[in-house]
Amino acid sequence: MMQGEAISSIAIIGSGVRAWFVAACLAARFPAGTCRICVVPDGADDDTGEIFARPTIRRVHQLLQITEQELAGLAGAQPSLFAERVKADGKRVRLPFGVYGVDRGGADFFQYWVRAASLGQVSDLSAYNLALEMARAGVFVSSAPSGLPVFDYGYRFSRAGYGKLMRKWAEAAGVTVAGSAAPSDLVVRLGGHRSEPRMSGWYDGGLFVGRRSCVPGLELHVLQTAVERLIALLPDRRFLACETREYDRLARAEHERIQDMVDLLDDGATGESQSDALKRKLSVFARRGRVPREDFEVFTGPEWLAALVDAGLRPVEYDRLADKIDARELMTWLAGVETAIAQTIDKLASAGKVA
Amino acid sequence: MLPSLNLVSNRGDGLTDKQKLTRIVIIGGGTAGWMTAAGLSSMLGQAGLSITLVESEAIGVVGVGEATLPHIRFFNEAIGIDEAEFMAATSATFKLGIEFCDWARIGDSYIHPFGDFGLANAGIGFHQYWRRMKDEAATGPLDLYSLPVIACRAAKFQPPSDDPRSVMSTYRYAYQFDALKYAPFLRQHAEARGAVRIEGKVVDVALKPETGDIASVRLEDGQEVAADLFIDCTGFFGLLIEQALETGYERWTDWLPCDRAVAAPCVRAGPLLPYTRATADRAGWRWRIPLQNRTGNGHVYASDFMSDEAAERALIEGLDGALISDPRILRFVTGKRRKLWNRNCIAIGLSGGFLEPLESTSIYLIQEGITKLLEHFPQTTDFSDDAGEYNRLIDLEFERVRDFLVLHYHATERDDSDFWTYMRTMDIPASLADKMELFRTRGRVAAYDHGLFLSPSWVAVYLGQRVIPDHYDLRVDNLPADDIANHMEGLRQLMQSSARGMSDHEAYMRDHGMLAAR
Repeated sequence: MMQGEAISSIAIIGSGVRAWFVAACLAARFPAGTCRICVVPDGADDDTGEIFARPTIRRVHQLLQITEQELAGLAGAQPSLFAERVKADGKRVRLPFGVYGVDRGGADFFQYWVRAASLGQVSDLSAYNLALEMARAGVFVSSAPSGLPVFDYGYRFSRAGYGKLMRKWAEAAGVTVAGSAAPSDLVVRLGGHRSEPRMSGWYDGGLFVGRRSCVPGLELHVLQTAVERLIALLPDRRFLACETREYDRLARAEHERIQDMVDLLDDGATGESQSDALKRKLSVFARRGRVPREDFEVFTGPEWLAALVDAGLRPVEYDRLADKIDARELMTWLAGVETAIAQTIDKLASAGKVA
Repeated sequence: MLPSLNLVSNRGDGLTDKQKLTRIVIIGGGTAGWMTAAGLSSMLGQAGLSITLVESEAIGVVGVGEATLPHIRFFNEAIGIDEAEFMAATSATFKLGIEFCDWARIGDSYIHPFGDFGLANAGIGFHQYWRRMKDEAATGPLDLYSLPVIACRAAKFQPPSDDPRSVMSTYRYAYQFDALKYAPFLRQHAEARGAVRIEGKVVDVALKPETGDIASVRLEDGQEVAADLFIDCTGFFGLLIEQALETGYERWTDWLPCDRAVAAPCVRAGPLLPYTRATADRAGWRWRIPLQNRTGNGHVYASDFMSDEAAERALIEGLDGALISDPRILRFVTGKRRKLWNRNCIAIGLSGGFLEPLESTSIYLIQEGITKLLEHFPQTTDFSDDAGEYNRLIDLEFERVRDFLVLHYHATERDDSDFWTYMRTMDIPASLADKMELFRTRGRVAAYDHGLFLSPSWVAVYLGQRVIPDHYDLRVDNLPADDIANHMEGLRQLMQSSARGMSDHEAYMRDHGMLAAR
């Protein structure tokens, strides 16, 4: 059996923060000196303004051993509690990085909210989401006090600052800049042009990573998962078909899950080109307020809930398990959750814990 | 502020207001029936729902010793069962994994544990290092690097720790118990939470002429029992789902040809083992499930390849203690109902389908049936959408278990019988073929988020079945062989010393009040 040879050099074709982020993520996976990585600038730089990161970016910072202090100092990092999409009609929707309310008795909080709404008056769903309320009030704490709805957070960085931080890390790990003629065992091309919606995957013996910037945070997320997926399925120089096929299968799944969210945000519940998975989410949610999850979801449960509710969908029924407490206890409990959140916000504001 | 929601159908399609769903009737006792009754009454008992179970003492239930998966602990906890009480009542023992003997080759033995191999490291899967070093004398089989495996072989047990830094947190456990005793134990819980039992044998099922739904069942004594939703726990017979509703059955007998099991209990012998054993035979396999007071045994076989007499002989010859009662034969057809939820009837347990108990999935599939029902529990009697989503999810579970079981048979080198030649050379499901190709190439496990068996289980069975990857993650070559060898030696010692510190399995149970009074 012919032995494959290890990939010992990688060229990243791309620019700016995107290229250096990928370079650092890759360099961290190969022990020093075992893989020559270079960035080949393609002139698609535009590192002005901000770039957002989803909470999953934490995995990268842990791997690179970059602290929050460094992120704040060198990349102007601010915590981010939601991903906000400006829709086609100009309206904004916030997809939270924290849950709504607290689950109890085997039923999601949302089911209790639906039941309460059928019985009387309830506040907007966002009033029960600590992450959204903190964002609204401009306050921040890094984790929920006990008993309150939990959340995680991502970041907003200055593109230039984060790019510089990644470049510094990568260059310290031996990544160089090369001209386009640099021969490499593996070429990773980063889509940089906004008119390029092509799916990530293996093309012509090289890896292409498409650019997704439709929802803040996706740009870095897609680059991060592209590297994680490559490493999990790291081929040798023969680039065997079954490994690249599996990569493409997973990349396609991720692409579809992102597209589902974009379709929902832009076209609402009645869009034309919906995937089966999105149709299923819509019909199960419209029926009973559950959001079925596929393999390899990108967006979390609360994000889908926010998008579905924003699209005007309301379930016809609620979960039977939410019937177990009587109506008075239900309303009291809901009010208690809302008040606990509001009080937490007030305390944070008066303690000066601004975001 | 939002206006009140209108919970009546707002589809404007002319349907009359749907009726609230208030009555559920479960037909059949046994594990499936009483797990369903206990699960539903615990979770929905105060939600305006009446739960009734109809069973006949005259109908024998299938009870041949059961092994389970760690999920059952969540079920027991959710319905408020105390572990020690449960174990004493059901003659249960702990289970840390399954030993597979003679599968890829006669003489082989590997354990598929409830845990991963090596220790978590953010980089490369441990089995990649193992693959590089496997031909070194000191390396040994993969399962030397699993604490639950070492514990199994030393007949030890200790509950896992919560501390994620400890090697004692890297495994889980389940039980082996007498299912005939689990049902009455669950019955107490179910009845205490409002489930009502009716003693009686169903002799007729009445359908509603306009919809084809089940209206009621009639019992031998003339009683009519009506419901909005029926749960069919009548076993293979499928009294409601098949005899009444003619749902249809999808056969998987080409891939899993075993169609009989002969089972018998025998006297306990040797130390009380914390694992199930599955020994491959010439046309199937034999199970050994250790209970507190006896051992449960069975021989699953394909009648096309072995006679009942020969199968029974092989069972008896393989026992390690004296036979306690006569062997009983069960016949089954591997596969599943085309729809497990059809109209107003849900099949849970053997009525829904059958996959041989090679990886202890029978009770798991019951539990999943109940859990998915609770997650999609209808408010009203119009539940075709709920049924559709339920069926989609349950079908996925069945198919993924099926593929995993087929792997055990297909990945063999045995050629000592027509049965093994058939299994080794048959066309397997495409989904499994793709997975096997990926693993054979470089030890990668095809990913999916939902599904019972995760990467470590696939790795355990692939390597145990001698599906050795052609290559490995080449970053492993960046470390000097000596460094890897030292690391692996350290792991072997850690596993051995940690296992030494664990209690003896039977002593642990005695010390914690889990043994049934003699």
